[in-house]
This record gives sequence, C-alpha cells and structure tokens, in this order.
Amino acid sequence: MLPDKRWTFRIVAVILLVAVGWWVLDEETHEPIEADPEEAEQRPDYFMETFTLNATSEEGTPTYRVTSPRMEHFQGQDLWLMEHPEVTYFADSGEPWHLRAERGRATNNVENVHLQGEVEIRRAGGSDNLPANVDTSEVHLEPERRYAETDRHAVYWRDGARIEGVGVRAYLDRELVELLSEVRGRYDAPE
Amino acid sequence: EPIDLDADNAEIDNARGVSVYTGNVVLTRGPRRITGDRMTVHLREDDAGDQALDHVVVEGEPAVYNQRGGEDRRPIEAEAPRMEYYASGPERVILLEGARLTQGRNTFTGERIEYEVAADRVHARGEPETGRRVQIRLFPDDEDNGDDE
Repeated sequence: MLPDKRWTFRIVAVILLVAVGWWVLDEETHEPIEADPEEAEQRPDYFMETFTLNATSEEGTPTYRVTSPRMEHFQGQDLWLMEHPEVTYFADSGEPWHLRAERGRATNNVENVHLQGEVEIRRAGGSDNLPANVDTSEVHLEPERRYAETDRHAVYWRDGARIEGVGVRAYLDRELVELLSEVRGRYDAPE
Repeated sequence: EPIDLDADNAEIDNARGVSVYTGNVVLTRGPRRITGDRMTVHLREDDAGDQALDHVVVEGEPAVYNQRGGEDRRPIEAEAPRMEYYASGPERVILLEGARLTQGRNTFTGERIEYEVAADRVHARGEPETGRRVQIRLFPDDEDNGDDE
C-alpha cells in the first residue's frame, strides 16, 4: 500500500509546485493596481496638526505667517486645505494684520490663499497706525505681497466709523483699503 | 446726529486715518446735505480719545450744500468748486474759490463764504488781491443776520 501513498504525495507536490510557480510568474507580469487618479486627489497624501508656516524676507525679517490647527495636503493639485486658518501679515511699520476664517485653501506653495467663512481682518491700533477691522465672507490673499481682495460685501469698521461696500482691494503693506462699489460710510458725531 | 456718506467707491488710508470717497458722493447729516464728485474725510482725536470726523473737503463741479428750512430757519442753498465742512467746533461749512449762497431770498456771492449752522449766520468775504468783491442782495422784510467783511 505504501507505494500508492508515496505516489500520491509526489503528484500533489508537483501540482503545488506548478501552481506556486504560475502564481509567482503571473504576479510579476501583472501591473500593480493603480489607485484611481481622482480618488488619489481626494485623499490627502499627508496632514499636519498645529501647523505653522513662517515666511521671511531675504533679509530674514518675518513677512507673513500661516497657522492652522489642521492642514491637509493633496499632492495631485498641490493643494493645502486648512481648518480655522490664521494668516498674519507683518507690516513694515505698526501692528501686524491678522486674517482669520473658518476654512482656507492654499495653492502654488502658498502664493495664493483663499479664505472662506466669517472672514475677519483685524489690526490693533498702535503708535503708527489706527486700529482697523474688515468683515466679509470670502477673501483671496497673495501673502507675498500682503494683499487681499474680495468681490463680496465687506464692512470696514473701527470706533466711531463704519464703511461698507461691495468688493475690496486691500494693499496691507501700504495700509490702503479700497472699497469698490456701493459704498456707504457712517461716522459718529464728534464729542 | 451721525454723518453719512454714500459714494461709488472709497479709499481708506489706515495709517493717516484719511478716507477719500469718489463718484456721486453725498454727505447727509440731519437736514443738511452736500453733494460733490470727491470728498476727503479727515479725522481727529476727540475729547473722548476716539478718532472722530473732523472735517470733510468737498470738490465738485460744483459742490452743492443744501439745508432744509425749519420753523425759524430759512432754507440754505450754496455752491462752490470747493467746500470744507466742519462737523463741530462749531459746525460750519466754508465755501471757497468763488461761492454763491442763498438764505431764503437773500443771496451772497464772494470768493469765500462761511455759513455757521447753529447760529444760522453767513460771513462773506471778497478777495482784495484779485479785486473780487462780495455781492449781497437782501430783502429787508426778511430777517437778516448775515454780515460781510
């Protein structure tokens, strides 16, 4: 009886060998399954928590800073999505400007930043400047130029004055805020 | 009363605290109304330490000042290429570069006319250098408290 068992074992071993061999060969010629490009773009390739980016001029002085409790990067579009971002523009003189919102998108190596949702632009008063506040719903920034613009309704306000309009261009390095249309200003009567 | 300005656009200089309104600019404060092409708002620190509106330089072709009449006040209408409106200290409007003002039926013309709002008083002045004189036409039965220099 013995020989039958040995034969059976040999046959099974050969079949196994052939099967494994075929599987290995097939694996090599078989292309790895590519992630669906669109799907890849939806998924972050990395994310950071308590994210801070500090940009400086050639002389090493700070020009702007971007912070966010959570930032996700999407390789496909070189896109950063940020929660509750805050962008700080450092001024040549006077207090810095703080630009905050609920959501932010940065592209092009943070050359373009788009803030959305309860956008607040704040500047404390200082010896060289007046306080300033601007509220709007959406703003596009070019941090390198310390520039901000929107085509939405916006309100510029501080103690005793409130000026609203539709569309803003803010050259914050030159402390200039332009309201582009439908402007209405209200000033309290002086005491 | 607060001071309202409406315009096509505005430029705010946050360092100097100066705002320039351009395009169909209208300033209103109670019964007073000024229209012009360009208004520059200058601020000053008021007694409470806040930045308050000090004066507005108005330019137009011409700039026009209107004030509705009231129980004891005659309506005022004035125009000039350039005006300066002072919000306090006292509230007044100074018409420059050749002005014309009517107070009820009385009319004043001159190089410079100043109208004090609270006192309802007109001061008109000529310009000796150019010989431009003040002209006043009064209607005696109308009470007049304007004077000329």
